[in-house]
Amino acid sequence: MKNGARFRNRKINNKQPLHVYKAVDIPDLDESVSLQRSIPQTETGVDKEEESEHHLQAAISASNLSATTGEATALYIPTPDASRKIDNYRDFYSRPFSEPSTLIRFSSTVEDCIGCPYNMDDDDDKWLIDFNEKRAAGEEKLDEDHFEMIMWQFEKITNERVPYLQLDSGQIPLFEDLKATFTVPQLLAVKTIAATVYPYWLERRVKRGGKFITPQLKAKQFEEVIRNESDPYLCFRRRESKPIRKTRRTDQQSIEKLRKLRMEMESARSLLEMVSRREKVRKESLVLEHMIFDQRSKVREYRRNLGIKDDDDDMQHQKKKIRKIGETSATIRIPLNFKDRDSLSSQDDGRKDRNGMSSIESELAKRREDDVGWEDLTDNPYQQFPVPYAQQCFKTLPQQRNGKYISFRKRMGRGGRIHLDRQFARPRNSAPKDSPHGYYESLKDMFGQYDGINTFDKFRFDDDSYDQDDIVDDLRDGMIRYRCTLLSETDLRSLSTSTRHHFISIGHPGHSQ
Amino acid sequence: MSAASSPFPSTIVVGGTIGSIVVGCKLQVLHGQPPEYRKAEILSIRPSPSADDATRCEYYVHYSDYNKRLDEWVAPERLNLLGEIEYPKIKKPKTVLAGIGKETGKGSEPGTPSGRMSKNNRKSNLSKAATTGKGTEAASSSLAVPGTPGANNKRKASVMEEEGEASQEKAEDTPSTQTLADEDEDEDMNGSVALDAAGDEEGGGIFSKEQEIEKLRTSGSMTQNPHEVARVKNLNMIQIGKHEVETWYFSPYPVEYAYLPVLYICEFCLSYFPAVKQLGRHRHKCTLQHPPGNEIYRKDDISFFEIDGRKQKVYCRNLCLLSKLFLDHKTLYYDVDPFLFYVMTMRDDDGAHLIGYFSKEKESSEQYNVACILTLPQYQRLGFGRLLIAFSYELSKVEKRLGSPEKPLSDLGLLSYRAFWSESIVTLLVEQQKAGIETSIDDIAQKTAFQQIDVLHTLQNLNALKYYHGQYVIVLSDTVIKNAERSAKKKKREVDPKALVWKPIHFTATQLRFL
Ligand SMILES: [Zn+2]
Repeated sequence: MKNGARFRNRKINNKQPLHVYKAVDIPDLDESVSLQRSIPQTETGVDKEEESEHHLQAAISASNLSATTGEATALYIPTPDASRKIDNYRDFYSRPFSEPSTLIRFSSTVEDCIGCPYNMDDDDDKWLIDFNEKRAAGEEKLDEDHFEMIMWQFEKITNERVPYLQLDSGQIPLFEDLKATFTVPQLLAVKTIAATVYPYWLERRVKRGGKFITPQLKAKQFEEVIRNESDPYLCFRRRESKPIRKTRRTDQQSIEKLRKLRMEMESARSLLEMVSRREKVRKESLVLEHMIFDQRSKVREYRRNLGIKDDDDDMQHQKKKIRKIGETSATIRIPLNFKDRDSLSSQDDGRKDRNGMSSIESELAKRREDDVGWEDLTDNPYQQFPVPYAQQCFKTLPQQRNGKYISFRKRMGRGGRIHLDRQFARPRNSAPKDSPHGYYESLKDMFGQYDGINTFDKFRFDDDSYDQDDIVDDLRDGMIRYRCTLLSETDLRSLSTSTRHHFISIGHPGHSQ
Repeated sequence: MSAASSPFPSTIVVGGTIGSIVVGCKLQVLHGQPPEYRKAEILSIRPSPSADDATRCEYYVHYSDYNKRLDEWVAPERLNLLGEIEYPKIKKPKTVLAGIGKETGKGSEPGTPSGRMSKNNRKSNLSKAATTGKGTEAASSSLAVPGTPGANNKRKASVMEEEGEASQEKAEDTPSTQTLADEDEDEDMNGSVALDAAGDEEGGGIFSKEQEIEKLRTSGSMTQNPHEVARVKNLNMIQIGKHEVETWYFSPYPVEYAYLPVLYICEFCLSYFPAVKQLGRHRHKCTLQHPPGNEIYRKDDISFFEIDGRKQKVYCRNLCLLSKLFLDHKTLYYDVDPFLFYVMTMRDDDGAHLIGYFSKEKESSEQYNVACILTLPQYQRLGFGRLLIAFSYELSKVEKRLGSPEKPLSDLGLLSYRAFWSESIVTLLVEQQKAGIETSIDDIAQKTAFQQIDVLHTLQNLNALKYYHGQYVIVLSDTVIKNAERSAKKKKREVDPKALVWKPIHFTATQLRFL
């Protein structure tokens, strides 16, 4: 009961309207319930180590006391004395101030309003009095204003010409150099007398180690910036084009941002590295293919020259392969887009790719041409397509206990992810080629979709969109066209039943295996 | 005692001599009126400026659990040498001491132990600096301080011996120390200081390890660290306008002005001078009679001026230096460009006198409407702080934003804000209660421009949030209402929103980027 921890909701909604009562109006208020429901105390905003200071604590409890009991004890935190006043204020501040009737608009800077920035000190005063006393009767005396003007001119010009004099005090300008800058009328008037001030100025400046005689803030002296960032006297640093002031929270945020940026840059880098590796491999393969091609053409030439007429079926086959690889390697894209993927994977199922279809067609046409004059006695006039490269990468594990084969392949995905594609496939050789089923087996290889699980699994990881349901329209033009070419017209006639029915009925046994 | 609280295990000794007191010691020090002993830490030691006896020192003490503004130089009589004295454990000399010594330029600071040079030594440095032109601050400092006798040093050493650091003792009389201090014939010369001085001039390459240890040991642990320089306030008193004000904290006025008895400040342009003569000369020429900006508010004799840190760099820097004397957490690390300064003045026949100000980021990433806020000490406890705070929220109301002061708050800041928040909120709630209107924390925030968290904070402090009939309600106790009525009767200066002629300045992204 003491800690109200069982009430989990200990926040007040800022938008929630709260009724305001006078305490006298609700005498039935149960303080203990309020205590249970009390909201965690918000922070004071004072530094933790200072929060506990005696005077602050005393003042806080005094004000709490006044809120609860009405005890009006104004308790102040004691501060050092500030009550003394000087009695010679008028010596320094004597200019009467008349305020304009409208609001003051003022844009002059302090520098504009303070006259000559050099203010003579007691040393100067002593020197000047001494100097004037020594002047001969007829000679013009130097007044304070002009003395300051001369000193300031020396200081200003020196600082403009040798801004880092304190690093190399040997560069203090000579009077001849400085004299040349006495050009405005006011300065021209004191040009000659300045010559007598110069040695004094020089002495003071050297004593200061080349720095301004009037000490300056350690604001922009580059030497200090380099030497010691933590010098407490160093202040008013220039900000490095950073609009947001440094606070703990913004620091945290920018660290997070930088971290994220770094991670992204790293992954981009590795991605590019992999792309460049891939492209190198492709280039290598192109070179190799080129070589193979050259060699082939040589072989062909030799053959022609030697009159060897051989069945160059293997050549044909190789040629086609070369062309295909050439096609894909011509695209240098990051990432591989859908089209590429499809063209690779749909070579077999002939779903989208026109090229695939036409190559099949031409293959078949050629075959028919070859077969002219021959009678096809086999059930399977179709030559199996070469297994696509991606498919070749599957390695088959030894047969499992349930008679299934599991094959797998390792594949490098985007961003260096490694995929392990599994395939619960019936091994290709489970149905011998020469069996009566061979024909349908090869069909199944092509129209894998028909037996669902098998090929769906096979290609599910080859496609970015494997979440989608694959809808197969077996009445599509391409399909029909292909089916038409499979069998000759007479064959078709003899198959009076619908082809569709035929295919489906064959597809099913695959399932049950 | 609280030895365990220190990061370094310390040694507690009961009773000691004045000579055994080193920087970092914690002991009872007489303080306050009536005087009572309080535990305090020695932050710095310097020779008494006024005493005839050259061995006499002053001790800069920080009273534990009291605000730093009460830190002060005390005479040795105020230290309770009969009680427990907690010695700091010497840190291992892993830092590159020569480098640090050089960087702090601490030869210039008579208030630190390392500044205790003999006159001879200082003079030799002076001439050296003057001829080589490698002007160290030591050469330019106007405060030559008589040296501290080596006897002092010896006694320190004996204390250290008790801590089992005896092996480090050898350094004190090694020949190399003497050769470094070759020009110095003063037998009282403090060996470690000579090292400092030489190091400042010629770089630290010639130190042996023992010398480094010795230097660390004799100069005390605290003053070595440049951050620690700022723990000792560098000015005692400022004269501004007709007021003489004791300073509270360190402020980075030129190091040459450190430890001056009085720094003279022109009350209109806030330029600072080490001597009356210069102030007089400056006042002879200075024509400013009000802050150099646009007046955006005038009511009776109170005005507010808006000053852009970028356009009025000198004035704003001077203002920051001045206010740093009274604000512990203020940082002058960056320049004043990204801030606007709202300066409150009171007018009389001499001009518009600075009373206080607050600064505000041109664009606050965290919805702060005040960065630093200060009423000058001579005007404190007169209700001006309240006026400044009220004005900052009036600006927020015009901007149609909620605002909150930047954290951390000082103790005085917290009290002022709390008083203002509760007064404003109670006034509002009493009205709501009379009208029988329900109000949400958001409503209160919108009406006052206080951030919700501050509203909540205030309601908690008023003990006004109660749980009643299954929901939160606000309950105003009799005393809270009575207090509010009483304070409402008091005649106070208020901010009159109608007297404010102001439009928020909008800075483009480019303008903000180049701050
Ligand atoms: Zn001035």
